[in-house]
Amino acid sequence: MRQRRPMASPEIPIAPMIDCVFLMLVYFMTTSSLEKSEADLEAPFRAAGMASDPLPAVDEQELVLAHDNAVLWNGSRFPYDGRGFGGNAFPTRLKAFRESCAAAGTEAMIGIAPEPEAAHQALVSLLDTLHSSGLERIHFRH
Amino acid sequence: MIDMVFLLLVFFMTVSTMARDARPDTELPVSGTATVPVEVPLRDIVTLVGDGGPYRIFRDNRETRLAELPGLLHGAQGAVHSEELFLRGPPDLPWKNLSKVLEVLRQTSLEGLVFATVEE
Repeated sequence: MRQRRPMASPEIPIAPMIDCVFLMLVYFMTTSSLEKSEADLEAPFRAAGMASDPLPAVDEQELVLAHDNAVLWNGSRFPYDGRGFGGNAFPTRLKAFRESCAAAGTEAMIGIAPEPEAAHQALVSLLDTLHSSGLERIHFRH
Repeated sequence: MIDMVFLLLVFFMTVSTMARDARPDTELPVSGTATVPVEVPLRDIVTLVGDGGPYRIFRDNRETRLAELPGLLHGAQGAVHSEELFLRGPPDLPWKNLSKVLEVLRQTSLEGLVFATVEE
């Protein structure tokens, strides 16, 4: 009696597929760029027709953002170093202003008056410093 | 190893798709207090791009002129009301260019403005 030979199990060639996958991997690794997520920074804005909140008592200070990105405040100059303005002196003075307003029962308000050549980065850093100092009532002077 | 390669492949395919966004490429200023929102509200995206010449204005990925901008915002189209605007611009963008856009936006019904930044 003839013995039946066992059937060879079919094999799927996976080597070409792995080659393809490697090629695709290299392609996507070289073409994709890992981008940082964009973060939100609330900016002072009030549309022309928008009603403003009633403010019983306000102490407003004007900060000029100069063309060289320094902050000018009541005769003092705080140079911009790419991250902040004049080390700790500026935040300390802002904090003192906020506390004096709180003691007097008034609301601390800041008006920012940028000069035409003041850079967006300096403006963002200034808003950062104001927010960190607890000053939230900010507007742009046009 | 093949499992790992497949995982990497899926990762890079996903990332490269997400990076293709409907907004022009531009550098953004760095902020120490800005936060990445968990849920992004419906909002208009306006980008200012310099390229060394005069600044160009884009709403989403479409270039526009400053005077046409208010009419292109969602709020102006009636059906969808956008509460805020996401303003993107490079770190060296001078205030004189930024203020022109803000002046036009003040004439719209926008309720808020957000500067696009990257976290420190």
